[in-house]
Amino acid sequence: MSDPKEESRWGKNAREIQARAAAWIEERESDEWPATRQAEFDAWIAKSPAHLVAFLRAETVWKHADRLQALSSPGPMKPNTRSSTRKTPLLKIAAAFAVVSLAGGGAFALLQAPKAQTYSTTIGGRETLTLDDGSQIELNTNTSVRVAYDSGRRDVWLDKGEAYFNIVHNPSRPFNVMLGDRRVTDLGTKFFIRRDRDRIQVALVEGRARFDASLRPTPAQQTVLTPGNVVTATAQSISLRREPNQSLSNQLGWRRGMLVFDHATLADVADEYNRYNRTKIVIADAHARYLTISGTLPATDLGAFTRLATKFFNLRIQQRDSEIVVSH
Amino acid sequence: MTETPESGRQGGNQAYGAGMAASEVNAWFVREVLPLEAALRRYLRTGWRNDSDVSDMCQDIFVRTLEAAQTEIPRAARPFVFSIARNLLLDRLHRNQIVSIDAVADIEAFGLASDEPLPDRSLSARQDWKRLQSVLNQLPERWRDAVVMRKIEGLSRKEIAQRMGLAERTVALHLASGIAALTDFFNNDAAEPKGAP
Repeated sequence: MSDPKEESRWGKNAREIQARAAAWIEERESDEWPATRQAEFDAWIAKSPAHLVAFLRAETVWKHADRLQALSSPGPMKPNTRSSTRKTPLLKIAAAFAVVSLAGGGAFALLQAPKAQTYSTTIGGRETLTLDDGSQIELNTNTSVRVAYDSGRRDVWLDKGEAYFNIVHNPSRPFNVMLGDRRVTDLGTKFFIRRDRDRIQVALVEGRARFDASLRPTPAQQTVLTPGNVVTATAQSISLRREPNQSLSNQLGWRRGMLVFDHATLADVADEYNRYNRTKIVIADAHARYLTISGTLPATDLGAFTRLATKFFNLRIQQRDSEIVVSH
Repeated sequence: MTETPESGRQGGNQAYGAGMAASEVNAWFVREVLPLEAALRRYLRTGWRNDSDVSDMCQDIFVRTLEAAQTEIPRAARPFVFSIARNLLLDRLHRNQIVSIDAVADIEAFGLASDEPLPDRSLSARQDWKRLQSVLNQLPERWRDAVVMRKIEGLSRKEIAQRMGLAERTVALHLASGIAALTDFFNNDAAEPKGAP
C-alpha cells in the first residue's frame, strides 16, 4: 500500500543506516583514520540526508555518554591485561532462509469452501444464532450474514446490518468475519460490527481481535484490537479510536431492544429509529434536526419518539402513509 | 547537551553535509530536534500501532525536518516537527492504513504543538547519569563491556581486543553495535534490546 518511491528512499533501511553511522563513529575514534577514509565518510554523509540524520543522532548520544565517565569513580585499573591470548572465535554467519508461502493457497481455499448458510433479519427483527461450536451471533435489525463452517475454519460474511459476536476461541479453527474487502479475526473475543452502506464499524468489547484492512493485508494494514477499540472504515479511510465502556454498552442497547442516546441530535435519533421501523421519521425542520437528547427509547416503539418530539420539544407531528414528519 | 565535553581523539564541531551554513543547521538539529525523539515516538505510537514502523517514521520526520532547515531554520522546532508527524499520519490514513484518529485530531490536546519545554528536557546531572547507566545496562554483555572500556576507561580498539581476547575487527563490530543500541535506548522509552550477537 505504501508508495514505492518512499519505500526505496527511507523504507526499511533505517536500522541499516544507523548501523553504518555507528560504525563510522567507532572508526573515526580509532588510530587508523587516513585521509582516504575521511573522503569516503564525507561521501557517505553527502549521499543522503538520512545518513546525516543517523550520524548526528548517534554521535550526539555517544558524546553524551561521556558523562558516564565524568561521574564514574574509577578505581585502580590495569589497562593492558595481556594474559588472554585466546584465538578469536570466528563470527558465525547464520544464513537466513525466507519462508515462502504457497501462492496457490487462496485458490485452494475457494475450491474447498463449504456451502454457506444465510441468516437474515427483517426491519425491526432480532435473532440469536447459536453455532455448533457454542459461539453466538446476535443479529440486529435488517441484517444478513452467511456462515460457512468446516473442520479447519469458521468464516462468516456480514453482508449488511449489525451483529454482536460472542466467539468460542479456537486457534486451530480461526473465526473470521468478512466485510467486503476488510476482515476481522477472532483472538478470543466479544465484539460487534455494524455495516452500513458505505461504512463499517468494528468495536471490541472483550478479549482481542485482529482487524485487517485488506484480505491480503500488509503488516501496516493489520491491527490488534483491545477492549474499547473502535475501528471505522470507509472506502477511503480507516481510523481507530478508543471509546469508554459506557459508550460501547450504549451502542449495544439493541440487544435488549433499546436505543440508548447520549447527547444525540434529533436527526441521529431519527436515523436510528429508521433502521428499526418501516415507518420512517422525516425531520422537515432544519432547526429541529440539531436538538439534542439523552435517554433510552424502545427501538420499535415509534410512539415513544412522537411523544418525545411533541411533549419534550413542542414539535408538530404529521403521520402520512409510511412517514412521520416532524416540524415546528 | 551542548556543554558535553568532547570525546575521543576526533575534534568536535565539524560541519558535515553540504550547504553554506551546514554546521549551524546541524547544531540546531542536534540542540532542538533530537531531544524531541522520545516525545515524538510516544506520539507516533498513539497514532500508529505497528511498532516496527515507528523508527522508520521517526527517521523520515527527522530527515524532512533537516531538509527543511537546510533551506531555512524553522523558528520553533517542536510545532514544526509535530506538524510533520501529523501530516505523515494523515497521509497514511488516506492511503488506507490503520491510524488512530485520536492522535491526528488531538495534537493540540497532547500539548505537543506548543513550544514550551518538555518536562523531560531538564534532567539533573545525577538523573542524567542514572539514565545513562540504566541504558548501558540494557546492552548485551559484550557490547556493554566494549562500550565501557572505550568510553569510561578510554581504551583503544587494540587494547580492548587484547582484554577481551577478541580480534580487533570483532571489537569494532561490538562497539558499533553498542553505539547504535545506546542511541536507540537513550532516545526511546519503550525500546527493547534486539539483535544481541
